[in-house]
Amino acid sequence: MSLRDLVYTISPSWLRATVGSRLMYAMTIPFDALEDLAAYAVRARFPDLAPTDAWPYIERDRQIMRGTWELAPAWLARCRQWLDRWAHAGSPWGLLMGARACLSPYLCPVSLVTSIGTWDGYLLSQQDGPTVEPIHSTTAANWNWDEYSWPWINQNGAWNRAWLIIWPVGTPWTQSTQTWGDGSTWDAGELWDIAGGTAAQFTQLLAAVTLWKSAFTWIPAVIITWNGTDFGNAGQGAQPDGHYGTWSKIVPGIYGRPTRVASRYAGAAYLAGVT
Amino acid sequence: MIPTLSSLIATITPANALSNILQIANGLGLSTTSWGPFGVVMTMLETMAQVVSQQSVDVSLIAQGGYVTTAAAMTDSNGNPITTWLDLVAGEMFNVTRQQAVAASGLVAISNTSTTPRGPFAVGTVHIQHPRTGATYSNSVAGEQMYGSAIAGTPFYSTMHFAADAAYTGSAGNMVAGVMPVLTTPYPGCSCVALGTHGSSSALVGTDAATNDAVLAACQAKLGAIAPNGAPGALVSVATTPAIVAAYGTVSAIITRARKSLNTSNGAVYLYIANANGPALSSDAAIVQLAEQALAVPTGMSLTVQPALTQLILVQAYIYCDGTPNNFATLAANAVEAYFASLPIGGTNLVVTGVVPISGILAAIQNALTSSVTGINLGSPLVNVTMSSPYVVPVLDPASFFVVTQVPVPT
Repeated sequence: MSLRDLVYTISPSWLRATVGSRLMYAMTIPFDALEDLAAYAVRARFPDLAPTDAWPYIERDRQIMRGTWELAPAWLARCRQWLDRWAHAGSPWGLLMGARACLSPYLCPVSLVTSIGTWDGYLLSQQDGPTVEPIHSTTAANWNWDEYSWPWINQNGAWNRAWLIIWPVGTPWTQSTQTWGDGSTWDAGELWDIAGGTAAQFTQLLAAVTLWKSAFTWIPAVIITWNGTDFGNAGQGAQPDGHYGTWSKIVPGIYGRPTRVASRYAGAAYLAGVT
Repeated sequence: MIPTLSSLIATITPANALSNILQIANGLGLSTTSWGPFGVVMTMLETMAQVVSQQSVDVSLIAQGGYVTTAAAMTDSNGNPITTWLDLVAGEMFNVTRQQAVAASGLVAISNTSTTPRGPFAVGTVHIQHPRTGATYSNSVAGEQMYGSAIAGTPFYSTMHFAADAAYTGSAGNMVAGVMPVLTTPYPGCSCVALGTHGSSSALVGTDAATNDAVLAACQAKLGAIAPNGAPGALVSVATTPAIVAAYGTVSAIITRARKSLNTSNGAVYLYIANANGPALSSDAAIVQLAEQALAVPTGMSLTVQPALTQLILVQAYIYCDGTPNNFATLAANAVEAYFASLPIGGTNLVVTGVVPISGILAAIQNALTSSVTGINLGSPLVNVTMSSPYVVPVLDPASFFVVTQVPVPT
């Protein structure tokens, strides 16, 4: 029963007459409104009942950041799963889910490979989630990022490294066709190697990696590649050859003269990693 | 339609509430213009409008209190932080308890050159004072003495436990190594010696009550501690939760700040820690190391906990005020020290290295002083201070002090 109905019910007959009842109505209706607002204020903390301008607060409270393209129902579902998802923080599982959220709703293939050749990943169109474990495989010593670029790093046992590989199938991210000296304007807001994306999207991706990775893991690079057969977990396609620690390497050129060439496969983009 | 959060948070003024009521009444056909301003009906409506306005504040607080993020930002009508809602949300949802202010305490060495022993003393009967900040301390353990010297004129050193008095609870009672307290309860031949010598503590460190921002950060870091895989938040959460650390030993001062670092040349992972006074002691780091290893470091991983590094910052402020000279220099110095104590390791605006913003220093001084101050100029620093590394904590350079210029304002 609303307050205005209650007041009418308990009012003496002289207050139920024309003027009295209208006056009481005008006086009590603000309190009915306040009661409704209080109920909404309580509900506003629950993701599914919250007004949209409350979402940023829920996002920060639960540390479940909404991806650039992520649809509201998917993000709301993740918000309900926040504790289940946080239970995986620091593991490859948690990191892959965090990266996948930045790509949602596109269910792109993603993999995480460690320096000792353990692989975890989700396949194209495979749903991820706190109860859907990524596919795990081990192919020892099939990943050689920088053995020749930084031999001392490898010798010092930087075994706690992992690389995130994303095949952005279906996303607006495409490989840039621009080349150095093609007449483009410097600092015009475009990204090197990637078209269709914004710097903010990749900042968000790296922030997600930082948030969800283990404190003990160093991600030297995030690889975005457009050829589905490259960087395969069985060693198929393009693979790092131990010179990927730097952007260029020296190889024998004409007449055996040392020549500097790009060290990394040009069919992919490489985001600077995070510690 | 669901009302927006901003509309739920917005409060209704009594005038607006009255206007709404009158509008409704008018819409119902009542002749509202005939109600005189001091008539019975209008007085009743104005009273109702006041109640509506007040209850809209309650609705606003309920809405804000639903999120730890907004609860942390809640202020009362005077702009003071509201802590009750955040404490409730943080406690009930994250099991995070606000750190209450802790008084600085520790051992102070006292020299007695006379052959007469003094004491044993009852608690609270011997008093000392910080020569710069004016903070006062009282002895906190019964039965301690200032033993007499065997040879008159040759000092004999005794140590006694002291704790900051209630007025100086928190970082206001901090005393760093090298400071020579003043024995304000006089005993002939007896005097305090510099802190950090003759068996005294290296520092007396108090901890301020956690701010809303600190409680919010603790809640967010706590999420990382849910997982057993060494999420960065877990390391910070363990180090800065006193109840957890206490299970592995007694630290000399509560760890209020922690920051992780991964060395990319060899993969080693470090956690730098600091208390409200600056870098934590190495012995404290060893205790935190035990807690981290047990609770936040995954099997087979290795973490090294070590004290943060120190960066001394010279602060000189010219404080202009009318009236008689006051204790502004002390108040300002204490405020800047408290501000530095609240800054994260590495400073704010952290990208590679952070800064100590001069705006923060100025705000700290302004907030500490009274209305008789007419102006404040910073002589140093003149620009934001860049932290020399991400692992340093700013500490007020004890060698520098506030130059206070008391300029009477012409009337």
